[in-house]
Parts: sequence; C-alpha cells; structure tokens
Amino acid sequence: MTAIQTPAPVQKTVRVAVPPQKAFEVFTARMSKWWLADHSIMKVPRESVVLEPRQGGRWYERGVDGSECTWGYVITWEPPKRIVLAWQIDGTWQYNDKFVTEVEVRFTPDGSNGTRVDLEHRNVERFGEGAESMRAGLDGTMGWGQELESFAAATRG
Amino acid sequence: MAVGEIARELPVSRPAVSQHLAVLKAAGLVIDRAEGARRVYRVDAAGLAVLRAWLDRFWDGALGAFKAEAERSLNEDN
Repeated sequence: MTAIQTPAPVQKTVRVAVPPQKAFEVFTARMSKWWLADHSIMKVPRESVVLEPRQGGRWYERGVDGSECTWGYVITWEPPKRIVLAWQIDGTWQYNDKFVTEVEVRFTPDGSNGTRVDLEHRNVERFGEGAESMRAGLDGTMGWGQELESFAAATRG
Repeated sequence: MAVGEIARELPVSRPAVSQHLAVLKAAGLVIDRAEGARRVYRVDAAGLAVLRAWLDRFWDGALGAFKAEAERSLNEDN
C-alpha cells in the first residue's frame, strides 16, 4: 500500500508594473473588473464581485437580478501586504460553509514602482472529499481522460 | 480503476497510461494499491488531479486579467 501524499498547493507569481498599494487595491476592491466573466456559479449574468475589506468580510458575487452567491470570506486582511481568503466553492461547484480551502496572496515591492504578487491556493486535497459527485460534474464538461493526458504532459514539462 | 480499464477509455496504449499514472503518482495526485496481480488506482484522486489542473489554469487566467487591469488603471490615474 502506497502512503497517501498530499497534492501540492497551486502557486503562482505575477509581476505588475504598479506599486503594492495599487496592486492590493485592484486585487481586492476592483475584483469585478478582472475576475473572469465565465467563472461564475450563478445562473444569471454577474453584476459584480464583492470582497468586503476587513477580516471576516464576505466574498461573494452578485447577479444582475440582485441575487447573491457566497464564495467565502476574508481570513486575514493586511493591506497592502497580504490577504488570505477562504475559498468555499467545493468540488461540485457549490458554496459549502463546511468546506474551506485557503488562497493567500502576498504583495511585495519589486523594483522602484512594481509589485511581485505571489498567490498560493492550498488545501487542494479537501476537494477530494465528496469526490464522486465532483467527478460526475467534471465528466460532464471535460472528460477525465483528456485531462489526464494534458495534465501528465504538463507535469513532465 | 485498474490500468487496463483506464487504457480502454483512452486513445493511448496501456504502457503509456502506466507511464502517465506514474507521473501523477510522483506528483502525489493519484493513489494506487495492489489487488492480486493488478494495480488499482483510486478514481477520486484522479478527479483531484483534474481539479488541481483546472485550478492551476484558472489562476493563470485570473492573475493575467488582474495584471492587465492593475496596469490599465494606473495609466488611467495618471
């Protein structure tokens, strides 16, 4: 029996040509402007993405009809250096208040007027809980065979 | 799922599937165990690999859009 290993967190770094204060402000207060439109769990078109600017603040999207879908909440609020968000959309693409994965974003000065933004989405293994229903959902959109192929290819670089 | 069952669903050879599964296993994304002479892979972990791959691409796209917006908004302010 092979020991169960924990999947690595998703880690990303992007450099932006704006100071940390600005990067932090755009990331948090202007999420509506950049969050990809097709990444929504609502049935109606999205009107905005809201991140309430404080520890414990709600993170949600609002539809054009005024309905809201919660995504999670603010675990750590440290402008302009760092935020940690609770991502509570589970593997079935539903908000689940018992499900928490963490997204940490750090903003570090880079050169005279830039920022290095490091993002880590961790606790990925928690998506595996309730895996059967998740797989049903994923099979509908992409089919796991093709994904396995492309993922393995990507892993080998 | 045994390697043979997985290979039947894919347009690639069985050895190729074994190779891919070995990569996924090394990455900690699938779990296997011996069942008699067969090696059986846990399908939920494969689902996890799909989801992790999705998240990986999702954040690439999201951060790219964030960068574009941050740099656009700075020009707007100036």
